[in-house]
Amino acid sequence: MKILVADDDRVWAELLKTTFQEEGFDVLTAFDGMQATMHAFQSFPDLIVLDVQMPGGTGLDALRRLKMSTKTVKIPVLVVSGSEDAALPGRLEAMGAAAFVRKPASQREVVQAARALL
Amino acid sequence: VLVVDDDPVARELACGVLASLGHAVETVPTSAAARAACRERWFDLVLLDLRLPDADGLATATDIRRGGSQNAEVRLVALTGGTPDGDPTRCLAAGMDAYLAKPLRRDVLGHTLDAFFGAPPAAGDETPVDVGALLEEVRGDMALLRRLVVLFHEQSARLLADGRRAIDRGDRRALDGAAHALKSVIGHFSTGVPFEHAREVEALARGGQLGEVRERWRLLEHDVEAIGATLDTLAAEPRR
Repeated sequence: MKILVADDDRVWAELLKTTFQEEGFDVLTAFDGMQATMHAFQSFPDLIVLDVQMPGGTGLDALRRLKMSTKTVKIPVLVVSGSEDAALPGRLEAMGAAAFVRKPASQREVVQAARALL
Repeated sequence: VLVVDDDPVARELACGVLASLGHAVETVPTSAAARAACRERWFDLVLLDLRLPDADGLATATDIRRGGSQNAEVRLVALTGGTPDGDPTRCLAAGMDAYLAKPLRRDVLGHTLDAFFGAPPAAGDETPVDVGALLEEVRGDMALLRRLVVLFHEQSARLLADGRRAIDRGDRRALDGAAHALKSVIGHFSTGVPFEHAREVEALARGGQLGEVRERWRLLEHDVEAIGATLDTLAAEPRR
């Protein structure tokens, strides 16, 4: 199983990557929205863990692009964000995100949420 | 610190002394439990009673050293109750770094710890990093810790520079982005004063108070430097 972790917070991305690897997943990382989209179209992961607030095209832009293409539309996207915007989860769902986890969250919680989608 | 002693009173005493010196303590009553704990978690120091119900302390010490565990290089201190196997030469041969007589005395233990780890910071000097939380987060994986420390340096240096440029240019959006990201990076290592500073700066940046932010940014630079120094010490190879 291949997971793409996209987050500009590289410390968090490293922690998450390590936790997923311990659980036996292959992990790719991206640190901005553009890179996330590129990786998704190149390697077609089984799941994408996506942050919202990222430079170089936000997570929302990446999500929109992924859901517009028939090649990537079926990849479940788990959005992880520290945003306090109460409308965000609903908006993400309408855009096609499979699940939402609000930060602060532990890496285990994210891995659990990911497993539930696979 | 891991304290291994079958005597509950001795365990309590060691706990009290170590806590008063500012250390986090875990206690176990047997050699088997000590070896299990050493396989699972990372310790700075193990205090080991030489007479344990299930194995003697010397054999336990050798086991911890040779176990191939993350604690193979941990500081090991024998606690001797004046028993014949408390012979210093045998303790050292078994891989112990030091031996202390029971009952444990605070000043003696303090000196030993200072000799191992350097004198503690002066009173009132709060450590900028939540060391316990961080070690728990990486689950004793020192290689991961080292990777995180490198990332901390890279990210914080870049974000501090980005923020400073944004302040100089009066670019609120860029400042908001840098402050938010810096808060996240700091938050992985500190929930104390530095994190509070980062939160305040983020709020000020969001409110567009650039003059205020300029002042606070300097504080944040100091915070980052302090966190970086603490992390470097923590991630350094164990001193032998």
